Amino acid sequence: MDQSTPAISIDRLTKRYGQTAAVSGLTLAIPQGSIFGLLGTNGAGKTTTFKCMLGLARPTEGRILFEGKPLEPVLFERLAYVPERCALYEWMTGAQLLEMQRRSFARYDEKRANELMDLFALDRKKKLGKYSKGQQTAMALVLAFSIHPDLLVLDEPAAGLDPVHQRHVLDLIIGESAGGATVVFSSHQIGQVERAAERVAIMHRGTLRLAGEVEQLKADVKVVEATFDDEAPSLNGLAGDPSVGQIQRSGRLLRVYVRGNGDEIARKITEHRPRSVRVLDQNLEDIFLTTVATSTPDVMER
Amino acid sequence: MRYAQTLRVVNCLKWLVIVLAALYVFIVSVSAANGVFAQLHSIKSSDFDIPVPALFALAAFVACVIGSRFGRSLSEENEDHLPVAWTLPSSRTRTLLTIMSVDGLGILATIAIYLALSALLIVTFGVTKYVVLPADTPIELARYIIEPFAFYALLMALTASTGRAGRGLVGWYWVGGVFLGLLAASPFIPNPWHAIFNVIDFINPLAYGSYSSNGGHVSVVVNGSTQALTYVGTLTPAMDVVALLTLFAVGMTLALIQWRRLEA
Repeated sequence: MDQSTPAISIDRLTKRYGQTAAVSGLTLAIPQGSIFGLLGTNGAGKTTTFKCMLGLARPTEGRILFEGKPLEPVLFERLAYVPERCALYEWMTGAQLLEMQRRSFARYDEKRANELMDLFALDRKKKLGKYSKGQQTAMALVLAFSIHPDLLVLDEPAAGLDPVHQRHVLDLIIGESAGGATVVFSSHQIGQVERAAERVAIMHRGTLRLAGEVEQLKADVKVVEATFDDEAPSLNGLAGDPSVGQIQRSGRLLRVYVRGNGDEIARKITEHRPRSVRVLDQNLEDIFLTTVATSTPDVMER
Repeated sequence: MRYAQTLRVVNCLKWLVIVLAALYVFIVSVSAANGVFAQLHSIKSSDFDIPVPALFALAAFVACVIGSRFGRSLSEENEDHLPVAWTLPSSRTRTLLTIMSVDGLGILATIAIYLALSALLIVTFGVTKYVVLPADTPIELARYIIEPFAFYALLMALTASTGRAGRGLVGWYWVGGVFLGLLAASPFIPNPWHAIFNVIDFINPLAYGSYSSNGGHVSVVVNGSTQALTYVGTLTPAMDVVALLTLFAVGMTLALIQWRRLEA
């Protein structure tokens, strides 16, 4: 397999439910062996994108290729999926579900599965319906990682887990990628995505708003943050500056997102006699929030 | 998928065995308390018989009841389990055929379990000498074995694209099937409605489950009224078998089409 061929390429994916477009014109390429974070608010289209990728939902338009080929059932032998809503058979015990996995996947590694069961402290004899939400998520993760997949699609994999187990999930993701697997995951815990993902895509209302390497995205935009003794001025003149992305005003605080190093904008703000001005690096959360923000500045108030 | 479905079917059969065992104990206890054993031994064999097809007719009825449970296998998968079922390394068609083949074995096992109970009762009551094999036994057996499969396949077609709603549909399917049979059989329904209900009843697998035999002085009627039997009797047993096979094939096909079109 040519390493330059994306593990997954999504080309102009659109999925409509009636008149509503859950995903619209999404184009993405996920490189092999990478950890790819898909971010978005609730209803952004992340889960629909995953469903279309895995054939659980039919795209209205567009196509999705895995290593250059359409999805075939045989691919699931080396693909693992953890859905947002855990859909385990609640009438089975943990041991029975592992047995089902063993019978279904040639790659199933019993030793690995047992290690993971112990890691997440899951009771094999207990019925899955008696598991807590977090334990059900953990069980789904055990199944996913027990087959040494080449491709992992994880939709909110840490939902309902305690901080200790969230860290385990992160370590598992990073470990699996180090072994050559491609990992695509979504999470509302942006700190986790920032720690693990090399590349991210941000979706909002069904469309792709931003995609790229995390470090590059962070370097591209600086935040110029100023505080004033009174209400922050509107500084309308800044809006016309091509380097300025978004301007947020909240009481005495003014925050300007700037492509480039931000020094020139900081100098312009200084002319308005602020109490303080500083130029900050963005973190992924800043990037996410500015990307999905509407045009109303106060929406961004935190 | 085979493993999960086998577990489901085996769990269901376990309950069937428990219920039938309790039924056996109840029948034998009540009969012993009321002197039924002695009465049975005094009957002449020319006055009473137990046709084997009648036993199969009852077994088919029980298999339809159990088939109701198996018949919503697809809708049960649709209760949030599709992301598991559809991300196994198997096509949807193969998954469906696996589910149906396991369910099919479950239906056959149900018939076998019920027949075993019948045999046990016959031996317990010492009435083996009354068991008879009428000339049309082979074709009747074919009819009673296929009937629960046709019932199951149509139920699968009805519930394939439903989730939890499939549970309610099973109940309505029974109500509809029985009600339709009654309408088709009722002498009080005027034509043309009577004729219309009769025609619609062709697609009601329950209508094919009745059995009638006049052995000696005792008439054995299973699964329906004598009027219903009159109607079904207008078809030959061989045509009944063909009709049931057709219903089975149509049900399977419709279930497959819906299963393949379904989205999680």
